[in-house]
Amino acid sequence: MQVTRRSQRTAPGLRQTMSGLHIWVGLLFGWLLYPMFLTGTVSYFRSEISQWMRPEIPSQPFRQDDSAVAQRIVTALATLAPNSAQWTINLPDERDGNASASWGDRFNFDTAIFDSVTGQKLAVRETRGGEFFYYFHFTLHYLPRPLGRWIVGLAAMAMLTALVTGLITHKKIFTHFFTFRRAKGAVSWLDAHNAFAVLGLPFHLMITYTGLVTLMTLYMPWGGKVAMDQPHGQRALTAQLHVSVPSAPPIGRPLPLANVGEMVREAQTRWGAHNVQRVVVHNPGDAAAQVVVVRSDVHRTSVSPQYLLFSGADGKLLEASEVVGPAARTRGVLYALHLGRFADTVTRWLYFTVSLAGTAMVGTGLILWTVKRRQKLPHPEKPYFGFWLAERMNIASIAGLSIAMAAFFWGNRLLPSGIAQRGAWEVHLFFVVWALALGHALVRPAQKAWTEQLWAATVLLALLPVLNALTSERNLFASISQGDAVFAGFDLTALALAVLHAALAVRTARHSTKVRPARTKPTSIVALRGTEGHP
Amino acid sequence: MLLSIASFGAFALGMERHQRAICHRKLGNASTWTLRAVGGLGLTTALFVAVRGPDMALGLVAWFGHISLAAGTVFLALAVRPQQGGSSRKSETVP
Repeated sequence: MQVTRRSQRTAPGLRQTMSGLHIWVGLLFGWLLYPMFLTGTVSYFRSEISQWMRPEIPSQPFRQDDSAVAQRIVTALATLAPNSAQWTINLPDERDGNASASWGDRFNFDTAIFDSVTGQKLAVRETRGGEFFYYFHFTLHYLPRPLGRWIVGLAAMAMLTALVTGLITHKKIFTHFFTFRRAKGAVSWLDAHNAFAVLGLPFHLMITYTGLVTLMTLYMPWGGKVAMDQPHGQRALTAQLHVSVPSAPPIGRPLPLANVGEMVREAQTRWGAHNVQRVVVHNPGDAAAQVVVVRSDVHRTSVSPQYLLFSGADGKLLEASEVVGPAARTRGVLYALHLGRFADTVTRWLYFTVSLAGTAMVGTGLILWTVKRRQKLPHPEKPYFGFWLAERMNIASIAGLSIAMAAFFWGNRLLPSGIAQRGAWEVHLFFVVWALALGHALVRPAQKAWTEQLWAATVLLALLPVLNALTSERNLFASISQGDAVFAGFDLTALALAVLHAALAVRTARHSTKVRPARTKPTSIVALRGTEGHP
Repeated sequence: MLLSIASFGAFALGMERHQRAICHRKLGNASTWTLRAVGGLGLTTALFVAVRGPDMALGLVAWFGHISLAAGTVFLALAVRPQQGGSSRKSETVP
């Protein structure tokens, strides 16, 4: 960064302070932001990941009619869970041809996957599927409910700060738009960091800001609290944000449920044939039953609640809630932008790719920090504690995370299906492996740790298709020949990521830091003044 | 389809400074401005094409994604060009 003579004599300039802030915030929060970014990135394919993790469920090549599926599952649930307080049926969509349902009440519920053709409950291994990465992304798993979200929110604010300060600091943003200077050590890392950041800037700004919006009622609850002081304020507020129907207690008079398929058909005439997302039945089998048919957010850029409320006794439409106020509409759109549920295949891959670039932005930033300072170390073999720790955290956050995520999939296939809490154990495995990676990073010399972990990730990822072939019938050749985009896509992506890790491992192994502290110190200052002003 | 238009846009914009320095070493001001204009026009056209679909909001999002990816592609294309005498100077490795 160009340090002019004027600012050398007076207080540090704006760019310098912004640069300092950027570095501190980026470094300290980067170790959390990188996992958040990566788990968020893969969450764009959470439905596909969940399907890969449940290979025993057949893929449904033909889209069933939603009304028929709904009625089939309602019939199945009437046998399975006749006395539940609530049934929630998630209908199939373009990405997942099967349906799922949960039943019970708020504190005690079961879920299962249902075949959309027969309406039968399917026997499936217990697994969280892609939901684990999705929830980790904003709750960090083991933490109590509000704490995880608060930490994530702080990290998101830090990300926003880092983005804005990075923009201010990057003086040559237009002239350096396409710059990449290879094999120049820290300068190359800087160019890579800038490239990932600037080329994906619309996305990064959008995703960070909208991420904060998704949890806005937690972070800025005061407006909502004013609403809640009003009579019916709580209900009105919730209704703007979520599908909410006041739960009436059952009357106790049994009455068979009206035809749910008809209700879904009514919704289809209003919204379109493939626009129903789920059906919620309150007090099924009772005279006070109510059925809520919820509109899908797949074909609209908003997640604001839209639903139809039917009486369960006679199938009459009681209420059509399809409009929310302007504030909620704004939130709905911003929320939808973050989730990207509306994305078609091409857009979804774009989301994934640019999000991956965002992950790389955080990663290259973290690595840049150590690369830049390594040259200035007086004793490279024994760096000061902060540097040593930062380097180890980098290895564990970046390479270690890849290993842990791959291990999660290995656990999904290898853990025996009978063990209790199998889904939870897949998650424990993820964290155990991650912790082991941290331990490995702490004891090994840095370069070796990087190389070994990157190779470990390469092997685990590259062998995922092999593991798939050995533990299911939907191996890569079969899925390609059957046009099974989900399984083929997963296996091929795993291979592509393996190649990426291998390339990184090879480069890291070959890298030799040219460290001659005594001699390069003066030239480094000259180079600092020289290169940071030049295109 | 959208991607190709956006690609041309970003690519033409990319032609301006870097190609001048890397490729032909000499590209007059007029050419630079033309290229930038063409690039900007290409990107704007891509925007209009993108939002003409059934869902304007989706089109807008898709446009951002496409141009980001196009910019990245141009970037990579420039980055993998063989080095032209810049890598041997060690003093530049140590900022």
